[in-house]
Amino acid sequence: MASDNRFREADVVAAQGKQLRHYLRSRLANEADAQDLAQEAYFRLLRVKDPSLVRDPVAYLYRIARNLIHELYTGLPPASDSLDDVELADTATMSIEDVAECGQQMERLERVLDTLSPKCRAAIVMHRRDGMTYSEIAGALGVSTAMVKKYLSQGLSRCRKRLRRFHE
Amino acid sequence: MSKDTSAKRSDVIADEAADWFVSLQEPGAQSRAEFAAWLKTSPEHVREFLEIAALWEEVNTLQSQPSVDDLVAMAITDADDSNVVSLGTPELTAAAIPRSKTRPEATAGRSRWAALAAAAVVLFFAGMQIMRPPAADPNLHTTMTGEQRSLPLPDGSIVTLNTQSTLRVAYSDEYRDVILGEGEALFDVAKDTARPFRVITEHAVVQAVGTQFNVHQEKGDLVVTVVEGIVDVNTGSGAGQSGRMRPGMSMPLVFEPQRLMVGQQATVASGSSKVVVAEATIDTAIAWQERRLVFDFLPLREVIAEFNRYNDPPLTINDSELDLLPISGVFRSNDRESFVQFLQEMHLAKSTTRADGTIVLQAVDDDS
Repeated sequence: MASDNRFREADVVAAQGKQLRHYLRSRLANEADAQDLAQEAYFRLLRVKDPSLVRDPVAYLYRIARNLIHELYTGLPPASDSLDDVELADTATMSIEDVAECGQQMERLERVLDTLSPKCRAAIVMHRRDGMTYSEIAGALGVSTAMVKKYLSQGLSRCRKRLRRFHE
Repeated sequence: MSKDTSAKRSDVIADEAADWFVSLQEPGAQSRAEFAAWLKTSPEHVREFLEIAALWEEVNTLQSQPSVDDLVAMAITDADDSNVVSLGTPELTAAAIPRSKTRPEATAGRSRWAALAAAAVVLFFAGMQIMRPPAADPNLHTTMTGEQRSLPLPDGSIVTLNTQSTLRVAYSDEYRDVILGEGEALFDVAKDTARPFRVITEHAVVQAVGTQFNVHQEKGDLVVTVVEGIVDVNTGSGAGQSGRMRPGMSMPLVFEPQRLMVGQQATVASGSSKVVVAEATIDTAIAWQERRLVFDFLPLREVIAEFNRYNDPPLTINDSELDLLPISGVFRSNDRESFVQFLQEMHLAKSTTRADGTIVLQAVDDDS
């Protein structure tokens, strides 16, 4: 049962990656949009009945966010309010401004990564770009897997904080 | 002020979001109900989690980061054993080896990082005249601007000297005394209840048995931070180098030590012997070990002073209105270019470089 949930969650995360990237690039550029989106996602989350939310909170949140992005782009609610997949192919097309913004965003992210401690940066890049597992990274750096997780978490939150300051 | 408070609150939420995000990568590791409850705390919680998730996806596409081999090399050489310099005398090196026996608690199961955290940091800025070294003294160790160096002490403790620091080792049968003339040092103190470990600074003596603490003295102000264990701070008149206290001497009984516990920080203002105790930020206190500088709403003037400890020629401010500009962030101590670039990106300041290499910061005109 639990493993079933796990599978679904991983699946959803992978499938939604593109939309989430798009969310970051397009929404983060506009503070008001980002705020609105979070606000609306929050209220929808509150309306979800606890048992179903608890079964898979991450997948639930991503789907809500994705539906909201769909609405933002098309001005229409998704065909159904269910959690079924929504076609987002058309909304994934980026405008010229989006592309420019995205390039800037990537540049900033690279620079912010460069300011992390070498271990945090190594953990993030090796895991994400090079697909290394926690234990492979732990072996390469000579630390425990618990430390690898700590590097990842610290690195991500530092990136987030630094990037936020670009937009305030 | 309310903007500061809300920025700090957002930072806390971002930290929590990142923790959740990473632990949720692992199937079943965390309570989903707990996470769901966390998400429902506020829209900002939802937002930070989504931002972290989006960031995670974005990192996936990075191409210009170094190769795995280079990343590993940088991570491993950073603040690691590789820069431990042997003092050269065979008995000192031999003495350093049985360290794990004297500190069984520091062995199996504890990561390198934990071992570092279980170390003592002593920061001390003082006039150089106290410690003007006679040349080629084997007990005297100094570092140049930007240099960091680790060396084993005779009892198996390890000291890491930060930039522009001077340390003299003056061990006796009763005491493990070291004198920090200037600069900053991280002490990983081997346990020896029979022989206290003491750091003698200009106006105070900081004493431990086998423990972890941080002493920071700048322009006469002293800050002691306990990373682990218990530390006594003696500030009575004559307690430090400037008074009657000398290496090997026992502490006069008239001194009433201030006892500090884990996570506590004591501040002694210049010219006072009054000790004010507060909670500490330990991570920040030992960040220099990883060549990180951590600033949390620190005035630019002080931020620049920090960078100048590691870099030459210096950064200066040409505009007094910039002095008190609060700066938050984490920077590499040996990469002030990124810091200057950060200031420019944020439209906080612009920079020019003088012929002698000095980098001058100026305020940005609002309409430019």
